[in-house]
Amino acid sequence: MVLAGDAAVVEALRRGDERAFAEVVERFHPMLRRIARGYVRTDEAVGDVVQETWIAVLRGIDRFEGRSSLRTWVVSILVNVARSLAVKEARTVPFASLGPADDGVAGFGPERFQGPDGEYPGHWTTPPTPWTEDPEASALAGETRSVVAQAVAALPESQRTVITLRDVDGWTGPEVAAALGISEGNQRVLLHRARAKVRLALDAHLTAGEGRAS
Amino acid sequence: MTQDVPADDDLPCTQVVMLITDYLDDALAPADRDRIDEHLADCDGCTVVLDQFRTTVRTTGMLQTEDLDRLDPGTRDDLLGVFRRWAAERPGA
Ligand SMILES: [Zn+2]
Repeated sequence: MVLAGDAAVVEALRRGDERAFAEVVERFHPMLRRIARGYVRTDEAVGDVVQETWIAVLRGIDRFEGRSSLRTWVVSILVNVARSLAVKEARTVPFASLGPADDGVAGFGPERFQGPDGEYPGHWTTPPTPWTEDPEASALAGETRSVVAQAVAALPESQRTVITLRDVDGWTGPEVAAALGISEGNQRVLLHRARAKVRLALDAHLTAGEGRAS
Repeated sequence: MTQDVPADDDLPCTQVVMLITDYLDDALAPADRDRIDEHLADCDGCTVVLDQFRTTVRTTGMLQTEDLDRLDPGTRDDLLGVFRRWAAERPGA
C-alpha cells in the first residue's frame, strides 16, 4: 500500500482515481468502524454510519483545504454523521460510562499486596517477576502477535477501541477523547484497563515455560 | 509553591500501579510525578510493572490494523460502487 501524502491523495480523489479511493478505504475503514461503535450499537447502524461518512467525504472533497490531516477531517465527518444518527435513535453514547471496575489492581490480584494491617499496607508481598524473554524478539514475534491480537479481541468494546486507536493506530490521548466524545481522564482509564489485560496475557505467554505466571 | 514530601511518605504500590498509564502519558501533576519517580527508585516490583507496561505498548504497536479488523470484500465493492456513481455525476466528469 502506497501511503501518498494527503495532498496527493485528495488530488487523485478529485480526479476520480478509483485506485486512490480503494487505498483510502483500506486505510481508514476499520478505524472508522471502531469509532462508529462508540456511538451506535448495532452492526447495521455501524455500517450505515461508515457508508454515509464516505458519501459525505466524497461530496465534501472539494472543500478539503488541508488545514488538518485527511484522517482528522474524515473522522470529524464520521463523528457528525454518527452523532446525528445516535440522536435520531435516542441512544445514550455507549462509551460514556466506564462500565464496572475490574477486579484487582491493573490485573494483579489483591493477595499480591499487603493488607491494611501489614507493615507496609498496599506494598507488594509477591512482586512481579521480570520477563526474561523479549516479546518483540524476532523468534517470538509471530507468536506474540497472535497472543496480543487475541487479548485485544477479547477486550470489552470501549477498551478495545481505545487501545487500538492509541497503541496500534498511534493516536494521541486528546485525539481519541475527542473522536469518542469522552473525557481525557476516562480515555486513560479505559486505556489502562486494556493495557493491564494485554500485559497479563503477555505475562502468561512469556512465563508459560516457567510453570507459573507472575 | 514548594511541596515537601518526606522520605517516609508512603505511596502504596497499589496506587503506583494504577497510575502507570497516567505516568506514561505525562498526565500527572509535577509533584505527583516526582513522588512516583521517588517510589520507583526504591521499588523493584513497581519498576518491573512499568517496564512491562512499556513493553506491552510497544508489542501492541507491532499489530497491524488488519490483525484486528478486516475490510470484507462485499463492503469494499459497495464502496467502490458509491465512488463510481459519485465520479460519474461529478460536474466535468
Ligand atoms: Zn512499589
